Amino acid sequence: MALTTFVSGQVLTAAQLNDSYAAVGGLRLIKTQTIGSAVSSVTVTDAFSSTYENYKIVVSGGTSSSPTSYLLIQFGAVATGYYVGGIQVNTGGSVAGASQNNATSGRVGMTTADALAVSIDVIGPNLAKKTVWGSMGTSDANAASAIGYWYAGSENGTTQHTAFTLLPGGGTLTGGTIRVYGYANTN
Amino acid sequence: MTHKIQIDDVVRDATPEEAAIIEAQHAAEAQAEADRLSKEQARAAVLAKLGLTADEAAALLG
Repeated sequence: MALTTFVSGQVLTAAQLNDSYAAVGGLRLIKTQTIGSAVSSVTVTDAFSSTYENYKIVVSGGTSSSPTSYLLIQFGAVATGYYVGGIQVNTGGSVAGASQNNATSGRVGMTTADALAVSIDVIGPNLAKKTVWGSMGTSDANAASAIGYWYAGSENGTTQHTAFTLLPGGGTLTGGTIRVYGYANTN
Repeated sequence: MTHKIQIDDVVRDATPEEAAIIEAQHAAEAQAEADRLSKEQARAAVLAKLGLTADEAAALLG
């Protein structure tokens, strides 16, 4: 697959257009999912495939009925083997570690009352290897919660996932958008 | 409590089994957050007794 450089007057064929598209790197939007009203979990199907190896999930907008709860992820139907290490910087600059050991889901962020704001990079969810993620975001600015957080985690099984579920560790989610992007495998 | 779960654009009530899993998840996360806050408060109490800020304590420990 090659990126064609066209000159004035040249005919663009379908094959050239397809090849050029395939040759371009960057992020490709795969799916957009609007979060419903007062839901305890949101599953996004057909998010991962063999087309892309790595993905970005961005959650924005919306509200939580339980701000400062953890936002959790499950891949497919797997509900065991989640390991997470991370840091949370709280009001006043204090830093707290956060970890999970063989949990039923993995932390990717925290919920907020004003807007959900989480960016998650997911490595190899559709490969027959463990699925790894790194995430970052911010939470409500009060003394009891993290102002900023950074988590790295893994689901240590070898299931090839096509779907994931986001669920708050408390309360429900309303509104907001989940966007799933694939990192193009080409240069 | 009734829980609603969403799969793509479809929202439905959780089954009793699904609701139990969600409740257990919430309880586990609430405990984890309580543990984190407790540790943070204990740390702050120790620093307050010493009359140090977190930055000063970190500087003392090198």
